[in-house]
Amino acid sequence: MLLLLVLAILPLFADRYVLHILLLFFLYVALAESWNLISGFTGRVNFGHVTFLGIGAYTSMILLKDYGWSPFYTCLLGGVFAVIAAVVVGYPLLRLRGPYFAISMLSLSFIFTGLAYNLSDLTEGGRGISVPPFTSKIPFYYFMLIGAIVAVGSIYKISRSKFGLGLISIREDEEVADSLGINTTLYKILAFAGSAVLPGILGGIYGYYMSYIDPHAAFSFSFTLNSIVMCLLGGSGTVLGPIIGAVILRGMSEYVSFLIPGEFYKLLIGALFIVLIIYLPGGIMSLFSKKEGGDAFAKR
Amino acid sequence: MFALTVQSLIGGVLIGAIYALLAVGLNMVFGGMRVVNNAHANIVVLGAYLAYTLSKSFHLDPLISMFLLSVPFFVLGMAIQRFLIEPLKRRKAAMLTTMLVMAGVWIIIETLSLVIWTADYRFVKTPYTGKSFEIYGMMISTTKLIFFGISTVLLVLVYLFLTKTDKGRAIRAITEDREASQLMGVKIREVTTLTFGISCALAGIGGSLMSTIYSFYPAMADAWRGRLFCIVILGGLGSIPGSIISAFIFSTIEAMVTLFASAIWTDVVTYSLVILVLLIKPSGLLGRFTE
Repeated sequence: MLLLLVLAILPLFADRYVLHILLLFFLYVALAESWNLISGFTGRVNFGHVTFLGIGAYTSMILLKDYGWSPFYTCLLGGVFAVIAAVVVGYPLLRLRGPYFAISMLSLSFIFTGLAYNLSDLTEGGRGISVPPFTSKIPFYYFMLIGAIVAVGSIYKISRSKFGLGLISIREDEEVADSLGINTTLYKILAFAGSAVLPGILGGIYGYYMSYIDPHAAFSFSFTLNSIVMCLLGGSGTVLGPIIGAVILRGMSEYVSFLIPGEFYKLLIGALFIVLIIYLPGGIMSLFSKKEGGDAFAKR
Repeated sequence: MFALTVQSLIGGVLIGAIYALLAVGLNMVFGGMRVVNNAHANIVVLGAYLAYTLSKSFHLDPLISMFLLSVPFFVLGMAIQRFLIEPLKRRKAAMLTTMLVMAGVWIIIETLSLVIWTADYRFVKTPYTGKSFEIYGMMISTTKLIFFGISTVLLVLVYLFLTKTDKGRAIRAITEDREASQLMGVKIREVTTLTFGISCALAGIGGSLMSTIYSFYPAMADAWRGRLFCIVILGGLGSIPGSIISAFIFSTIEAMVTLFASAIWTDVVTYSLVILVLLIKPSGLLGRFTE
């Protein structure tokens, strides 16, 4: 609670750089927590999580630029479009499991990248869409903070609910869950749609914040990868795990790119990824608790 | 128009052999070890970069450097198997976990090539670059024809190795049934290490061949990752003949999309094809594994 209060009044004192770092950190917490819902809890590892962020960003930026709508509505509509996309692709794709689902989601993110390039009447292709930047970082800071709080809060609620238990039972053994009367198809689609809401909305906010998007920035695999690493680092299928992962990963990335400018920090992410999966599959949370989370990927 | 269509069909078939070479490497590792090698495409592009450096610094033709490169890539493959895959297999981790670990390798290779070679487009120029000859009014690229020949020879060698030698038979045996072949005295550890080595050596060779056909940059691996997964899934995970057939189907589809629509649409068409195949028949044309 105290931490939240500090974060809430921080913009009064902090400089632009600190706000920028924190804002991205909130975005990543929300992304990682939403990835956690479909992949950590339900066990469908999503290699195309960025698709929803990209859809949100493009929806919002197109409406903002071509129709001059208020960013409030465009960002919310971005979320709506992301959810619609999640339901439409989720219904057929969620039948797939393990690497098959992962590969199909990876392919989906590439299809959307290709569409963003090719439908240039709508998306302006590789040139990207730019809008006049907003003067202050502070509103973006608060929106991202709210996004992160909503993400963590809803994951906490879900993890304590019957719905959350249903999702975990799907991860552990889908056939058994089915036979016990859980509507697994509905649960999976709900989890998938739920995991698309925040990336869709925050994608729009992120696009407006950067005041520019292009296909590669909006559908960059690094968003997906960061979400996955944060969850695995902290412990997927737990509430606190993704936050811990985001703190450590963002902190280390900033520190390393401060020491050695350029792309070197990605080497660190890659190496960390490998070490974690081999030696600490349950993430940091598994060091404290044997009960919650655990190795979400030990099962087929 | 007819001549043009036939010409791009032939072009597609010629490229198909290289696709097959790379897809077979990726699929051997899947069939033999149930490893989804996310980084295969990055290893291919790494091969292209090393061929580029060898050609820039020592004026080596990619046709020569591909033999030189096959050795370090073989070692790289064995190292990946020993240090990254084996600990997972000992833990009886799921197939998906191998995919995650190889994504780590993907990031490392991509970042390294970005740091070493920058994001600029690279291309290896050879005496035969851009040369072509004419048959019945159709232009055939000499480079593609040479590489078609080399890839075909390599594919035949791989085939002979898999069917005629003891080691090759062992690889096929563990693809069929891991436990049973272990009981029959197949040394799993040795065979899987060899398989990964061969797979990476093929990727390195394929990479150096490609360096003279396509211009490349670090993120180009993304295009190849999708394409190779497409081919392997279409042909059937674990089925080598399936991969070869689907490589040719795939390269001709690509050539046709490029001819009749536009090259920029190939991504959308091919990735949609992967999803479609996964939904309709996850085991692919000739595959047997489903999960």
